[in-house]
Formats: sequence, structure tokens, C-alpha cells
Amino acid sequence: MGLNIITQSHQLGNGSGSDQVTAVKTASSTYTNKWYLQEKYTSNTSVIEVTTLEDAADKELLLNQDANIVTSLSVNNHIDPTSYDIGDNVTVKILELNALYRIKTKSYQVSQGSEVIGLEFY
Amino acid sequence: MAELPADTLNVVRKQNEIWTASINIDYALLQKKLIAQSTTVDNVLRSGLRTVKIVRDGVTIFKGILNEPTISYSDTAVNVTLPFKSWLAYFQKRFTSNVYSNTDAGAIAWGIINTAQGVTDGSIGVTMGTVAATKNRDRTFDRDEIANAIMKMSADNVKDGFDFEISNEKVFTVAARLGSDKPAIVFDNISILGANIA
Repeated sequence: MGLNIITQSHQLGNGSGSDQVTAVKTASSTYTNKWYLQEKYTSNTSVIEVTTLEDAADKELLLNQDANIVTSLSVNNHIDPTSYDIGDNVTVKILELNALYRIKTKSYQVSQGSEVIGLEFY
Repeated sequence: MAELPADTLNVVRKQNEIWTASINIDYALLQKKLIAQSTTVDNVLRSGLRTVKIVRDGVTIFKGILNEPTISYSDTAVNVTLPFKSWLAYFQKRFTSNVYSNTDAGAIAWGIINTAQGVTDGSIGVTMGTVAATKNRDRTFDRDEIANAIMKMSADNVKDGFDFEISNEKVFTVAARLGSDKPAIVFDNISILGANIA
């Protein structure tokens, strides 16, 4: 949150100087009003298509233009870990939060008979 | 095939990325177990590309390729660490110069895998599963790493990108979205051990 937010994405593609392929996308005022202008430059030197850079910029904004709230959990196996997987939307109830979150990463950590499942969310 | 007695085990599966696993084993225990299975530590670790299958309660949760095993030696213990990567990681060592114009992204992804697998000694047996049409793209590859090229067309990296996986059974799948809504699966204070809230 805070200064990890991105509201303007600059994608730098193939070439240099005035020949360089570039794309710039800015988040909507919904987000720039909340988080101000926060820029990020990303180098994609193998990309020669502007539309590819624009798609990358849009995605970067989508993932980073607002706060995500719950970013990760470690859970026990009270719920069968094979009943959910990456890509699924599951419910998280913690403190006053109660919402669906989509699983980006799922990990198993097993040691001396104990098992902890790690979940990271989009 | 050999069965490994793991002291600790970690498996990490990431949407649209390479999955990893790591197993730590006491060397003496590993040696004893492998001798009982008519093989040796050296044979298991160094005689070609090795793969692993990790099973939890009868369900396979990971299959992949042995990466760089390490042995840590001290006067009190000798431990072996075996890191593994999923099948997609093989395509970090394969490259493409294919060119595509106005072609569905999933077809591009399968195309570069299929071309790479058509080369002598270049196939690990990945097969084409459901490759749903998502968005047409132009791609001019120039000795680009195949795994990275596919990941860069995924939903984690581009707007309207696809979700994909090479499953444990080596089936390549592309969809607009993999996974489903499971609101009935609820993580609350019964199951949550820790959380990061940002």
C-alpha cells in the first residue's frame, strides 16, 4: 500500500532514442485522486509491438493501482488443501474483512509431521 | 524409480509461473533407503535428467525435474537438498525464433512448445490439452527463451492475457481463466495461522 502503488506505467520496448517503441498508461482518476501520480518504468527491450506494451501497462496498473488488503495467509489443513487450488476464488474472513480473494500461489510446507499451507492472493 | 525419505518438504505452485519443490534428506538415511532399493545416491543424483513425483494422501501434488542438488557436510550431520522445478522450467533451456502475425496467443504458446519438441532429443513429452482462443497477437521472437515468452503472454503480464499450465501429467492448457469461484471454502480463525494484511 502507500508507495507500492503504481498509477502510471511506462513500458519501454525495442530501440533507442526517438526510435524506441514505448507506451504510457495512467490509472483512472478514481485511483490517481486516492494515490496521486506514482510512476514506474519497465524495460521490455525485446518487444516491438506498441499494443503489447500497452497491454503490459494496463495489466501493471490493474494489479497495482489500488490496495489489495489481504496479501497472504498461512493456514492449517482443517480445510482439505486439495479442495482448492491456484486460480480459485476463496472466502477470507479475518478481523472485519470478509471477501473473496483469488489464489495466486499455494505452497505446502511439511516438516516433522506438521503441515502448513501458504496462500498468496492477487 | 526410487522412494525418498524426506525430512522436510516444500512445494510451491504459482499461477502462470514455474512451480518449485524442495526436499531435505539426511544423507545416511537416503543412502540406506536407496541401497535397499538396489541403487545408490550417485545414481539417483547424477546419471541423467531426474524427475520427482510428490504425493500427499494419495494425490499427486507435484511432478518436476531435479535441478541442482546440494550436499551440506559438517562433523555432526550430512544433509542433501534436492530442488525441483515443474516441466515448464525445461523451456527455460529452449529458445525460439518463430514469427507470428495476428495469431491467437494460446496457439502461439503451443506453437513454440511444439516446434521445440520437434527437434531431436528436444521433447519431454508435453502434449496439447485444451487451448482456448483468447486474443490474437503479433510476436517476432529472436532466440527468445520459450518459458519466459509464454509467461509474458499470461494474464499476470498483459491485459487480456491467458492463464496457462503444464500439468503434472505434462498437459499444456490455456484458458481465459483457470480456477473457479469457491465461496464455500472459508478461511477464518479456525484455519488461519497467520496473515499479511496490506
